[in-house]
Amino acid sequence: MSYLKITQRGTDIERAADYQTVLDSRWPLLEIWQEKQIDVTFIPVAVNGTFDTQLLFSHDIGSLPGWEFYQDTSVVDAAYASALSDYGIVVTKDAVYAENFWVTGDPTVRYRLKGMLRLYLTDFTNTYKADTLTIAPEPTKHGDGSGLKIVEQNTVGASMRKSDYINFSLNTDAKAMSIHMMGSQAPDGTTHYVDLTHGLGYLPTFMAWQISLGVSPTLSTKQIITAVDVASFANTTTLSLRGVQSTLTNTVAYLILKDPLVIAE
Amino acid sequence: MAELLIAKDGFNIDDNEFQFDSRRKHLLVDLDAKPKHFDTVDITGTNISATGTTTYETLLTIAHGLNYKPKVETYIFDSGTWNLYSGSGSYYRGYYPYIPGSGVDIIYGEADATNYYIKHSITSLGPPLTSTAASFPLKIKYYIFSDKGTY
Repeated sequence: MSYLKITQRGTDIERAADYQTVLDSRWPLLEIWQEKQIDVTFIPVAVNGTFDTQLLFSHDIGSLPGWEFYQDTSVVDAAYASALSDYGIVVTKDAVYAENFWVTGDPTVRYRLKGMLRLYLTDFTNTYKADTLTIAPEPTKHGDGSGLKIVEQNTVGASMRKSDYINFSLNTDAKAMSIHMMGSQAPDGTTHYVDLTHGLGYLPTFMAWQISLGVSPTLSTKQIITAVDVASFANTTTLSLRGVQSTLTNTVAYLILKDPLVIAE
Repeated sequence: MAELLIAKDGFNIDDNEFQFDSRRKHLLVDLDAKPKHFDTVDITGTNISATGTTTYETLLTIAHGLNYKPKVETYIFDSGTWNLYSGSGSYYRGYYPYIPGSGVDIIYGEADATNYYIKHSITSLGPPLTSTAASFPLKIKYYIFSDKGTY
């Protein structure tokens, strides 16, 4: 198999550890599908079982994506300041919704959900696990000034002259996070834990969501991916995800990233 | 516009199945930043206290040099027993809670447009509470990404 490998400037490609590798096409990179501003107002309380499900936008990923939401809490009514956060966001394989499916409170109050949503290009239906390679790293030397930069074409104002890496899809002075493991798993029927054997040799960097059928009539036939609050227990070979306020009952979608090894050993 | 596309193993470029696609943003972390944009640190909170309110302390401040509030990731590992479930090997993403009776005691990471912080807070719902964090050293892994963590 041929592949493309780019290491940090000044690093021997044969002796580059994972953290010194900027791009290695043997592993999928964590790609950002879309970052979008959201500003929607809805009824926060499901009155007599009536849901307020609002389509925010459609996407064409075709699978359930991992996502993050950064909320502008300055516009939130004080009664819900800590209640909703990203729990107002519901994502399906083709759209993003705002929904009131669990909050209780005063039904006369309107809730404004404003913030930035980031969708990752992930497909949790295909379980993936990378090979684990251990290479003794060679210290990075002073480079000769050469390198590879690819401008991120969807960022307004991005150019080669910018020094901030937010303007780049790839830059040999920055590490692009790649995926070590990705998939979905139902909790164990007895322990209600999701136990993952990652085999990395260090404590992993991970993200997690839950997958279930929608609750509201609009989404009841669709699979949805929503936020989940998990505690975890970890060692150098396994990661055990566990519910915080209640036991896990839904399938958990997980994403484990390949760390720069120097900080994780 | 020129593009760099790498097809997934077993696919052709025309199949639209990519291992790398330069048209997409990627989650980047600066390898050369000083102070470091990723690292592990050993942190121990102090025995702060609160009565019917919340008391904060900042355990670590890192100037990130970005002109926006960045996406950050914080992972907190406890090889001891100062955690919600009282078991060693507890490993939390973003925040680390302890429930000392009628309140909550938390160590967490967050950022603003200037700094990344590791903070400790204790919230009392009424009766006086004093944190026991000083007795429990934690190992914390953090990332400051070159992408926005704000609206």
